[in-house]
Amino acid sequence: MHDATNTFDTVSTARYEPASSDRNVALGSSVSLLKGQAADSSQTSLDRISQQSVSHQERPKAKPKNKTANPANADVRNYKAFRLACDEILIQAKELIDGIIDDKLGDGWEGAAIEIESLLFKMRSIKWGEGDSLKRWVSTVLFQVSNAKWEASHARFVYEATRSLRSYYLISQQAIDECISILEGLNLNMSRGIMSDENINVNYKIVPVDSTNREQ
Amino acid sequence: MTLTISMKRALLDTTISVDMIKMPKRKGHLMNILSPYPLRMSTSIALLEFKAVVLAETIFLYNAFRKSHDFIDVYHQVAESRHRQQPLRMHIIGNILNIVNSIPPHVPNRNSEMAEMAAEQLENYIFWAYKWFKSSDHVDSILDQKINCTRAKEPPVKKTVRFDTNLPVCKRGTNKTCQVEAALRGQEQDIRDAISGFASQPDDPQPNQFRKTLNVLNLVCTNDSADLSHAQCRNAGDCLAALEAQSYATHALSTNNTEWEIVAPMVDMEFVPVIYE
Repeated sequence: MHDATNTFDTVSTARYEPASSDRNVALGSSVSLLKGQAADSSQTSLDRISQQSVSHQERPKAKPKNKTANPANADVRNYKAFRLACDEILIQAKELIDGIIDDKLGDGWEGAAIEIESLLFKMRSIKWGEGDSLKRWVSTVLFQVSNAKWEASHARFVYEATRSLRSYYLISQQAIDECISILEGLNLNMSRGIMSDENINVNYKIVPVDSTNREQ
Repeated sequence: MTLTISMKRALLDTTISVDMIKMPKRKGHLMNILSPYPLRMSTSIALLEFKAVVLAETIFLYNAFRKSHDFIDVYHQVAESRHRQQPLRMHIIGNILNIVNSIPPHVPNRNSEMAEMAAEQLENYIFWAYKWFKSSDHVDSILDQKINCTRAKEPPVKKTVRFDTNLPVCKRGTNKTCQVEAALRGQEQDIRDAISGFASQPDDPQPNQFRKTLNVLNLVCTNDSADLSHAQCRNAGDCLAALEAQSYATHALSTNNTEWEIVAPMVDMEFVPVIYE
């Protein structure tokens, strides 16, 4: 690497056109400079121009003015979004829990349940935690509550699991394991949606759409 | 382990274990049947069978969803295949569909999101299911004193994206430390006496479980260097599970009457058929 003084010298002498026969030599020099070798006193003016262009390439780029491009800012934003999503889910789940009478949900449970599902799907898009841990946590919860007739245990599960999740800074497998142990503690079924079709409201099928079906 | 002689101890066949997680409605019925048994047991061979069926199929679907990123595509692949486990695969995909179809219609690349969500929960499930089999929610003990299947002891391992081979071929000196050959040689005559009368003919193109067991027994007892792999052990699965639980369990519970009616008395166990209403 050459220092700044050397660069200015190069600029001051760069107005001289090199002889065409020097060009190859000069390019050769610039290559050796790239490899970290010091420039010697026999350098031509084109050598120095080449050095200058290399020094431009090596100069650190200016920091982007856009604050959102800074990874640290993105982390802060994502963490805030994660905490906000947890808070919104907790408010809805608390509403359901407050309405429990004789271990049964109040009449208007569907509204809060739909809201919670929607918030959970929204949470899937937040980039926070190790790998896809947050998404897998959301899937664990959704596989218990989606397309289900909610009972008191579902509301308690969403509340307790979200409260537990919110306490983590970085989401990892540990948060998922804790979520699973909460659902097991509430006698919910981890096999639901995989091996088990327990408490499914609507059974869906994939049917090929052809012209006959459309007419019907 | 000190066992009180009068205590009833139940050996659960793999069919019971699978029903416990597959059919929660049956679980209540099963718990009633199991209530007289203070101790519930399973075996390393049953865990091998569980890995070869439940875990293998969930891992297959997980890999398919991760590879395809298209739920409908995987559904059609499975529906059109003629694989032996196609009904189980369709059962699982149908259950997953009931959940992932809740993804809002306005979500971009919904089909891909459905596949991703399926894969995420399958990953959670694969780790959970292995732990569950060994947990006290399922049984009090996994018996592994006589055979101690090496493949059963290996938990599912995820690589960067896909799961590692669930059941690699067993090779003694490389990846196998079980005592399956010794256990079969030690009980050869008892097994022959118990099941020979019920085995299908040797030239039957569709041999029954007893014939398959005798074939494995012949292989081991005529060749001192026989090196069984997990597929052969599964052919003799009921006999091996019974041998492993011999003198520990007093009762054997299964939905599979055909085999267990014969195998249970061979090891002085009482067979309790499980019938669902």
